[in-house]
Amino acid sequence: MSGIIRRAAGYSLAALMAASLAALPAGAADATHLRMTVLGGPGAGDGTVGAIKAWNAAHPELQVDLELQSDELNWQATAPTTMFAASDGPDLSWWWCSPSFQYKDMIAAGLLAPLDDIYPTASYPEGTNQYFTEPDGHKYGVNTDVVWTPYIYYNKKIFADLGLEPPKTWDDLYNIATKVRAAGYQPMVTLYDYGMVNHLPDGLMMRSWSKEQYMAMLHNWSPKSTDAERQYKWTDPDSVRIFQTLKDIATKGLAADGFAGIIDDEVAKSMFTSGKAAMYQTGSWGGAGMLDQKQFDVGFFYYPPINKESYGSVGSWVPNCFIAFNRPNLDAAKKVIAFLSSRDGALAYGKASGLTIGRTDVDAATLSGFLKPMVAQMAADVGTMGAPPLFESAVPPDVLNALKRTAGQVLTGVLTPEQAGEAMQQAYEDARKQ
Amino acid sequence: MRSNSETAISPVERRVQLGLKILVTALLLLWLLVQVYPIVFLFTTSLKSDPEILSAPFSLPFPPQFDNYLAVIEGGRTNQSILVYFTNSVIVTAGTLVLLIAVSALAGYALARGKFPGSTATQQLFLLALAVPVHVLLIPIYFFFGQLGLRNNLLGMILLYTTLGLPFTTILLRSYFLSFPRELEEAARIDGCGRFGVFWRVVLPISRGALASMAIINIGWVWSELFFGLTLLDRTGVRTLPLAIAAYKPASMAQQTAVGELFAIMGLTVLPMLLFYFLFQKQIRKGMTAGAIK
Amino acid sequence: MTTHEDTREDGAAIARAEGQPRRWSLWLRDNYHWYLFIAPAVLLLLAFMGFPLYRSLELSLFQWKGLLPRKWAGLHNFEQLFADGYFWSALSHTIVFAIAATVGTVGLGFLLAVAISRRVPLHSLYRFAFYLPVMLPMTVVAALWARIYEPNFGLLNTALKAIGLGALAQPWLGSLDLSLPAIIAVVIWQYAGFPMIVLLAAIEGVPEELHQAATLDGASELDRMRYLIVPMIWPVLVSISVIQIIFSLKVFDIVWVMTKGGPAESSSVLGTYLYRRAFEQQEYGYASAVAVAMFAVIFTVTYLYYRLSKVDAVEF
Repeated sequence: MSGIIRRAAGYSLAALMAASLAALPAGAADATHLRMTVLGGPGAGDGTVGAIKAWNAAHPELQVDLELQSDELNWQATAPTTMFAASDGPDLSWWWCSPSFQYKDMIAAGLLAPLDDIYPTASYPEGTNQYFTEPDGHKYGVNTDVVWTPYIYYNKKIFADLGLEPPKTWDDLYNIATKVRAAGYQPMVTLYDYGMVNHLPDGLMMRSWSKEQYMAMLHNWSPKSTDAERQYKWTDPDSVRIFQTLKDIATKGLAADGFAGIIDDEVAKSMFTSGKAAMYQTGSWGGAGMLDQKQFDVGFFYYPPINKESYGSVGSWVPNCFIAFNRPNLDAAKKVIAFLSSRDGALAYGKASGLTIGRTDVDAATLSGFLKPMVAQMAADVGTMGAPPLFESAVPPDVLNALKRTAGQVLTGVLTPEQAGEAMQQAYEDARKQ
Repeated sequence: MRSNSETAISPVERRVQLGLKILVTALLLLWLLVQVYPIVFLFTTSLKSDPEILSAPFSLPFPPQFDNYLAVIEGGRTNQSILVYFTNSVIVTAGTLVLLIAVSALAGYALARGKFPGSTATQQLFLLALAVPVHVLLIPIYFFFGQLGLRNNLLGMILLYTTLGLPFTTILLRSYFLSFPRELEEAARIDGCGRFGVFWRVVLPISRGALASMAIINIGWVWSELFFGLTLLDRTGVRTLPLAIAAYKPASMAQQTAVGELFAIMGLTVLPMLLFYFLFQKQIRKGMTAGAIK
Repeated sequence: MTTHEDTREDGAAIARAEGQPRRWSLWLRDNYHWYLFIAPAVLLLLAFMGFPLYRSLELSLFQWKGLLPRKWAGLHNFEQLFADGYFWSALSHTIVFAIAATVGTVGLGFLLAVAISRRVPLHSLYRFAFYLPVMLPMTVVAALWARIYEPNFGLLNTALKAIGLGALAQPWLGSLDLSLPAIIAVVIWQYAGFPMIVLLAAIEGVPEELHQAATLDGASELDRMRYLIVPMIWPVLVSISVIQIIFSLKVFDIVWVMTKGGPAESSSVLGTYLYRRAFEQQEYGYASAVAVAMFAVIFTVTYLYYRLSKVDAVEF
């Protein structure tokens, strides 16, 4: 027995030493190693992996070690204050350059390096250039791709078997849900923490508000907003209708049973891919991912409008970006980003991800060479339907959190749509005081 | 005690007692099923493909597929083999247990035997520390570890977990050493042993059982700790198994699901604990009892 | 429960030692090794518990987003806390959780221990199997039960439908009313075996003569439980209950993995609320105030435990 303990102690000490060794920086090799982080999985993850592979193959002297992150919501919320601000943080990263993900705070705290000198301004549409230009005149992020949110993917086989067509109105959609349920399927599944309380309301806003109100509501939480912008409120009928529709989605049976307990996207996704649910809600950021199903064909449709005068059906999201941190390896990190934002780098990213790289130096023919027809169709729709920025890319974390919380309370019946409107208006008032 | 003068049991009562016995047996068997089946389900599910898991949750895995295990060991989806998480967990758990038991045995012995100025205060400190909820420490530890370079560092986790386990373990060991016969120590003292010599050569070898109990009491929570791991380990190479479970969403929004792989990770996390229980069940139950009653 | 004598002797010895002033060098020679013995433990406690505790109290007086400089806020965070409905609901969920989980685990554990001590058929299998879930890591249990509770293809609803009880099928974790009870049920599932083992040891310590006397008296099993077993093991019962309460008040992992406190905060507890406010919403100052409140609650319960249960205070 004492032998065992002594041996165990010996092993553990060895383990301890191994642990402390592991904590030391990697030994001096010939090549410089940069540390880069990205959200793993299809879309951005695959794209970054593809582009970095191309870089590493051509530059043995400057290697990028890519770390894939797995828990999207957790990483999104915690990385800026924790990982990026830490002394052992990465040199560069893929990120969401949006105020709701602490991008502005990182700039204010001096974490991010300006990328003006490597910025290929001419390669992006004017809107993208504007989005990335900060009040101080600098640009701290380089756009990687443009995605649109949100859509509903549907199982074409189930729809065909039941004689269903993509809906034109919300009542159509509720009827579809009823018929799908009657046939023994669940109607629409999505990750609750994200799809239900974030993307759904985001998509409903542009279907309920007029263009003027939409643009005002994206900005009038700010202390700097004008009185003209502030005449629009969350308590307006067009605003309350957003929450009313959310309530209907829950009460009229469109959302799957137990939808509020789906906090793992694997559950939502597996219900759709196994043919147990007829619809799955997400956006185009998965790239080609959702569209490749072995057992059935996948179609997509946009949510129906809920207000005739509403702004549009397709919103765009441009904040996906590469950023570099003010660290000793900054010059090397900038070299890598210069490649990633070049035409070659962007094409490597686009081919690996199947995402639309929103660039002026890549023509439609080149794009269609690697985009799935459905993604290309979405891209074309933007031209005709318009692409306002999304709520999520315009508001600070406090406001976005308030929306998620309020939407959750409407979906679960804690708040009435009217109360939800008041709660959001209160969140705006609070944000204006800061 | 109630004094009961009834000695004869009527036939009605006998029937009631028989009924009660059957009911108790049925309830116990039901509870057995409820307790064991989920664990069986965990392993059967980990040996099935995703379509099977979703269409027939109760079916047995015939033939068993080890694809899920191979996939997580290969680690293609997360760029990281599950064995890395596994190794990290082993290092952190082994390191913590060794350090924790060493440090608390020293302190527990001093508190049991030493009558030095401040010994009462020190003992109060341990009692006080027992009442500190770990959540209060999370935010400062998070930033403090960043400054010390202990974030993403397994040594940092070992030091932290040791600290968290210290109060309880020290207090238990102190009460163990209080019941330790002094005569042996005194004999060794007369033979010329110093305090540490007595502790190292006489006390520790006899206390193997108690020290093993301490390892048993602590191994479970260290192996499964999530709260601090989630915030202090954000580099992929240093993460521990509970983090792999809490955050295994590798191909989010892809065409493939990974339910089976998640179950494989869960299986790999559970397996060492089950093995440990099968091998040392008597000692474990004894150790836990000692921990709770003392 | 053997050390009352020793402890009293210690107390007297300490009193002697402190009562007699000695010369510095002599004192040092006699005592330095004890300081070396306790030094590692005390240093670790001060560095990784004492210091962070102090910083937490300090931080609760600031507003801080993590990246930009922090702002002095005085007691504002606490004012906000007392007016924060989500905080109060997290606190009440935590208390409900602690009480229900304790009553459930200790109650069930007690019944199981009595049954096993009465040598029912298969008792040694039960003793082995009912402790099995205690050995599982809580994150695994949480992730496993999240799948079992899944309303559409989860094990529970599938089983209910299969045996004709489909009407009882529920969206368990997705329901405002059921999310917290569903989590508590899992805790009872996992931890009933712990009080069971402890109480079993205590019950088996009840002298056999008393059992025989009870049998001769023709006492029913219920009487035996009420008048013999419970009084005999009462201190252990109290002690294990308090340990369970303190342990349950600190709950985080299982709620985090199963519901993250949702839906609509219906299962949020202080641990998850604190984590969300700190790391999801970057309100580190406010979250520290939550932590301080949590500290106050748990510290009070623990302290009361030591004051009220004299037996155990001496024991430690």
